[in-house]
Amino acid sequence: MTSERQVTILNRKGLHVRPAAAFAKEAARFKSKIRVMRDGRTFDGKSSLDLLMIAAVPGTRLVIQAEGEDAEEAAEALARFVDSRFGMEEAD
Amino acid sequence: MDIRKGIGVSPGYAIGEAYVLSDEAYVIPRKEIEAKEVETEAARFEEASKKAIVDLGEQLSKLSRRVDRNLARILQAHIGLLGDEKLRAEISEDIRRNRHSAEYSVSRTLRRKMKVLSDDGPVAWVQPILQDLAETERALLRALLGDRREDLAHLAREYVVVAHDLSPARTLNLDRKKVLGLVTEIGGSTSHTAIVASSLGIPAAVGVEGISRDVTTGDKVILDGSTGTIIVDPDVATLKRYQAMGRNFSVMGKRLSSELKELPAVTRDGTRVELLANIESPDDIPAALEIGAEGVGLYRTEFLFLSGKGPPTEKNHLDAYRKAVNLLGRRRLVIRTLDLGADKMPLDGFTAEPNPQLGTRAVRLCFARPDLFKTQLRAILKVASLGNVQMMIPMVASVDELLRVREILESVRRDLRRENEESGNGAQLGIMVEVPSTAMTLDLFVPHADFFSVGTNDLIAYTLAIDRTNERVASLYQPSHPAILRMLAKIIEVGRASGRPVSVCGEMSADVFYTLLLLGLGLRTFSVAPPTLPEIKKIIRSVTIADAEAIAKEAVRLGDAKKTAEYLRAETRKILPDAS
Repeated sequence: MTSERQVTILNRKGLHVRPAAAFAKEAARFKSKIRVMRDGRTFDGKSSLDLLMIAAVPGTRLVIQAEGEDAEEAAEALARFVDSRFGMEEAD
Repeated sequence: MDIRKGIGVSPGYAIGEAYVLSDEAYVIPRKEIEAKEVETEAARFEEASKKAIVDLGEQLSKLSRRVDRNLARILQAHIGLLGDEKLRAEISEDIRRNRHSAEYSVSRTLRRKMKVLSDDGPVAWVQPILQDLAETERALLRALLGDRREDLAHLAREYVVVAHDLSPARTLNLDRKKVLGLVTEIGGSTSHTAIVASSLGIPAAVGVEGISRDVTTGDKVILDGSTGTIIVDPDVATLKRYQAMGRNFSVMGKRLSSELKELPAVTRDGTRVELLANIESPDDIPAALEIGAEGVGLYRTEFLFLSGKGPPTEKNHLDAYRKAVNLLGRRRLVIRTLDLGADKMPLDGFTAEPNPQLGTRAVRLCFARPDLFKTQLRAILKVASLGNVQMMIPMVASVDELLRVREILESVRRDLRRENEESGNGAQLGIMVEVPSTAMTLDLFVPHADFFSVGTNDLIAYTLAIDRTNERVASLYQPSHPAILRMLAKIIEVGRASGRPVSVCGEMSADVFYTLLLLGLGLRTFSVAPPTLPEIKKIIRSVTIADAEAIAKEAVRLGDAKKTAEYLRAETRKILPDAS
């Protein structure tokens, strides 16, 4: 089973090291394989290093694709997570 | 293959493996490993990555959560990166597949990622990510290498050394036999790296943006020190082309110097010009004489102050100066006294100054620490009678300072006489002319100085208010500026009228494009980095004084730094078509 969500990076500093780590951690809760895609390039959603390599600035649009038994649940949760600015206060 | 452009500051070609000095300066000792070592190496990496996580965890536990909340989050994120399965897999695969040492694989894998980001990503956004990746690399290397710091004095084999910046002390401590070339990100054509490299005849380029990040130790690089070109990971055709050029270059250099070596530096109308060498250490003397230097016009003694644990003892000074005198015989040896700032050497009781270039440096430091100065003067006076030794005081800005130096010198002489030691009575005392105030009032110094030597680097920097190490303004550092030309004309004229010898020992003197100008302004003593000596001699032997005077007159008349520089280049190329 595969589910997809389109999201937009809202964090002021873009997808930097802390949101990347937070996303990877969140993604690891699910059994599904998580891919994050940008402009035809695919990154591993469970690897914070790979997520950093997206170099996503605020306003960048990404597609989150989950594949596996909990795909729908994962895609939905991760999309919400991005919308919530990765659960971070914008202090920094 | 990746081609980078910097500023070429010391001609020649260097082809070999890069040795990257990171800011934390770790040894990345070797690149390839044996097949049977692969598993050990992969296990070393696994251990190190666990250790790095533990180390960062310890740092984290020491932080006060409330005060350092942001720092704590960053450390947590770095721990996350260190534990990243994908990163670990990539590094392990690099070790296994390419038989790289763990250190090399760590460095290479992370630096490649940094390179991808810095090539594609928007700079301002990517910068913090690059720092995070660099921190990850450092954490892994720390865990792999412990406290084993790199030591440039003991490189295992020959390398092209690549660094963000090289401090004077680090540059001077290089093992000259192992360094094929030098590449730095910081600096202009007059940076310390440039000066040291050209005096040692090591090809060098400075101002090469991002090079220490984009190159990994072990990468194959080509450096063209004339044009400032660096080629990373060259293809076979390029490599062959440069190898051929390198062979040609050394053959040409040898031919030029062997053709000219025995010939005097005389203009076509028979005017004799003295060509002296600038040296960093007595070890440079044999090569300088070999290439045709008639003596040493500038012996920079900073090496003595930078290479030991504390300030040099009288014996340290004596050993070096005796060696120099023994190698030179009756040839001239001009020893420049301490020319460092308090910022460059660890001294008790000196706090950092906001602007060291305008602070307690050179003769000012000698006044502040007469013990250092007297020790050096004692040694110079003791060896003076063994050869033709002269002492030269840097950074003198007023007659008053020169008189004070003379007083100190006399008191040292009295001490030596009391001890029945040689007191160097005949030894001449000269000054560096490198502060504009001194250049403008040079006639006032005539009664008290035996000779003058123009330090063009500082003179230009102080006159034009340019920090030579600041890339943003380095291009405004113009030897051909009308103010500099007028000052040089005045200095040379004061020397001629008073019978005080004048030499130029700054970089301008070694720049072939200024030889005709200086000769035409009346300069008869050039002190230069030895490798440039044959070209200077060739120019001198190709013109008459009348030719040079006409060229100098026109250069001054133009009254515009750019036009003057272009004019001098064109005139020089008529004699040396390949000059660059």
